[in-house]
Amino acid sequence: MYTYSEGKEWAARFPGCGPLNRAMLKYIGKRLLMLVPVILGVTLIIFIMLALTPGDPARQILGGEATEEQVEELREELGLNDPLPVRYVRYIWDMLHGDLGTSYSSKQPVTKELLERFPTTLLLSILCTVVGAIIGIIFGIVSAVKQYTIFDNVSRVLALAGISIPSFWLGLMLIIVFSVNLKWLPSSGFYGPEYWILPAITVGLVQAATVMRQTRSAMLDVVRQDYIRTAKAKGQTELKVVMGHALPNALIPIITVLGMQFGHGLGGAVISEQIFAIPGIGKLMVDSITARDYPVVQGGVLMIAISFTVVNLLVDILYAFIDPRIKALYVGKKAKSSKKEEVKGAAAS
Amino acid sequence: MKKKVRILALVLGTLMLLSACAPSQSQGGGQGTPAPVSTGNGSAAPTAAPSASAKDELIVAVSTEPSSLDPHNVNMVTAFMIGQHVIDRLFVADADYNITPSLAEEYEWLDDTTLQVKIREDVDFSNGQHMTADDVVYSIQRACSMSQSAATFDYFDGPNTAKVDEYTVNIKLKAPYPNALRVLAGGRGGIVCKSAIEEMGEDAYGRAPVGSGAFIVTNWSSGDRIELTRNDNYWGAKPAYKDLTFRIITENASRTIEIETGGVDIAWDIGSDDVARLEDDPNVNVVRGASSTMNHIVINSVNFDTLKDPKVRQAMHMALDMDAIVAVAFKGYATVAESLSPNSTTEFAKVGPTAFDPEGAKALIAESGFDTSTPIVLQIYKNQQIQSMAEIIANMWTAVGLNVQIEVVDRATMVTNNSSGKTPMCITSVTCSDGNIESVFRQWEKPETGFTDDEALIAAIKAAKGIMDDAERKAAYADLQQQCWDLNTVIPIATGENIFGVRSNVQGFVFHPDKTPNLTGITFG
Repeated sequence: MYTYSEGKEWAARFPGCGPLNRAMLKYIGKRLLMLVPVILGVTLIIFIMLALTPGDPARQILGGEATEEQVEELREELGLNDPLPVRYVRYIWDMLHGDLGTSYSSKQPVTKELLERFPTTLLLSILCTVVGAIIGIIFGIVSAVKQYTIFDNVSRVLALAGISIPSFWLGLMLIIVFSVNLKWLPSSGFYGPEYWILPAITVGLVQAATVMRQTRSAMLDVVRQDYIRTAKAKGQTELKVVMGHALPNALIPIITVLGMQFGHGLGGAVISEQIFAIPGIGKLMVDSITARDYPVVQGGVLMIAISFTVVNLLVDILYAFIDPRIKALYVGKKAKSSKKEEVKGAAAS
Repeated sequence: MKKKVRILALVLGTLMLLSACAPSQSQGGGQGTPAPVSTGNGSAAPTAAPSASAKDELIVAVSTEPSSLDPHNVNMVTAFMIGQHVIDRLFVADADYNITPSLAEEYEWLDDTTLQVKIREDVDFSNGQHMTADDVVYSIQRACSMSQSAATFDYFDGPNTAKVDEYTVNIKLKAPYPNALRVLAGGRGGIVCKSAIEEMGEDAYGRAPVGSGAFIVTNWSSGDRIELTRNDNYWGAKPAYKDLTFRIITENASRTIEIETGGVDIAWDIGSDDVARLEDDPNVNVVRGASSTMNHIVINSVNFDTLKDPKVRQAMHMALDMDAIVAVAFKGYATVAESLSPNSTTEFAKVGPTAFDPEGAKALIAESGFDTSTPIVLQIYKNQQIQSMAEIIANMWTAVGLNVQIEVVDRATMVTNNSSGKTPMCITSVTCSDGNIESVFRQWEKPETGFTDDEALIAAIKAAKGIMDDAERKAAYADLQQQCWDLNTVIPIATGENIFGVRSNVQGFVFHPDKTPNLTGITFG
């Protein structure tokens, strides 16, 4: 992963870091650098797609009654008459200066619009992932340990239902039961913990179904391994075997699924945001696409792409902390490359 | 163990930080602590939030978020409805479109093109600035020049509108125009504060407008809510409650549930599927009435040869059972069109409906020699009601032998195509704000839209706008409605109803066909 001399340099710059941390830092740096082509690619694709999409933003803003002259004037004002390459270069230049443009609709800076909505989406995404992880992992573990029992069969049916049920239907049902009939919880908004419960459960339950299936499958692979049998033979309790030996070894695919779900969540849980009137990124994107608000769409896609890449990176880093084999891979590579350095140094001398 | 505690603390800290950043009910608004809303039956819904003194906050659920509240820089009914509470106008119109002075104290027509208005002398804007004739002149000139209001102020002569003295203005028109007062009383007629716009800039003004209305905008949480608080220096009758909050809830079902649970006091645009359920709810009153929006089919006979034959268009009109369309697509909450304009417009003249006659339609198609295998494209945008209408219409046309194809596009595409005459046929609508029939005919004036290329008809439409005598103008518009009805390039379908859900403890809500009721006079029982 890095050379011996580089390692020394890292050690000097980050005295508290061990070899694994230094390797990870370099890896993180590389991954972050990869964001540059990702951003360029995403912005280019979205630019071309929006240019090809029918519907004139100026006409959309002014409505059907405006004259062609007024529409043309607004197009000029918005810079829509410039050639696509000119608009793209201008956008990238502004973006490098931290300016994602101004919304055609609200006339507000896009950055402000997105930052206003992002905390809500992030919070919703965290809550949904937590609900999905807790329910999915618990049910997945028990299902795997109690394979082919009634619990397992019922869990699998529920998981299938969770994947199949549309979230808008589930959301409405939960609202009817808990808001309309029982009057326990508010039906829309996102103003405090009592408002978070229904959206988190709506999306979380759907996510839990996938997590449960993934957990069950991963756990079934692990519980058949020799070391599990050995652990049991040594007289360890079922709980200790499952939680101490089986689960840590089954976590990688589960973390991958959770990471993917969390990443998707950051793109906005459009349906839930719509049903529960949550002012998140997903709702903003849908409204902006409908209104042909190009700067907001471009900014939103960019933010989603960056969020997704960062979440993937975090998941990769988590692997190293969860799985000693991956940790060993990093350290091993370091050791190997530092040995090569030493051999090269000896040969040179 | 220590590490786990740290991680737990980090997670909790992150959640707390995010929840602090997420929308709160009274960000910056200073409306006090949220408390449960009385549901009217003694139970309390754990939803939004009037302050402790009985009811001091009116919460209204609207279906769309305005892009701005600047009356000259926006094109949305919701913006006009909310904006009227913040920015007063020279005149106001009631639900029957009767005009009365508001900021104007007196007015007089000096000649056919000069309206002299004397404004009130006791009006201050919410930033403390005193309102003078300069603000009125600035507002009229601005409305004439801004792209989103210029079409409405087409007849106004901005550059020649001038101040006479500190409180008197001569508003000039380019030509005699009988609807001048209506325009001034309409959504784009707000009198803005000149110095505030110059100081804040137009975009910032649109989000926090300074006006002389009964309320002041205190917080606008994008995608979530717009919060207003009472202007205690208001020159007119002050509202009985302190805070007015507009919650943006785009989903029909969610708005209905909010009114049922008492989360909001008034809900806009109740879906027709929910009306019966709400009517059974003792805590909710359903207020409904004919809107000022006409749904119609536009047939582009100018740019598409297949649609040029008047017999084919007449057959298409005769093949439609409008009662069935209203019963199914509108669930009965609509009135079958009897003219090109809704019945609420002041120049409305009954010229329809065309009798449903499928056999007659078949005979006309046969007589015209029209090749029935020719596909006819009906373009619509994604909307449940419009899609429902399109399916019924397509079936009825298919039943008389036509080959109809429905093409679904998004609204932006539809507006663009329709304005440039690129759509052969589409289902769309026109709203006659301020009871003004001109909106119906505005598209007819532009041959590029494909409504008509008959120059004599276009000239007659343009001329009708300037007829000052009421009876003469009504007669001219009646004749135009008949002529355009007979052309069948526009097939009016129905005027849908505006349906509001109002909690039973809310008093003084007055229905408005434009969906712009003024909420200043609301009280709580």
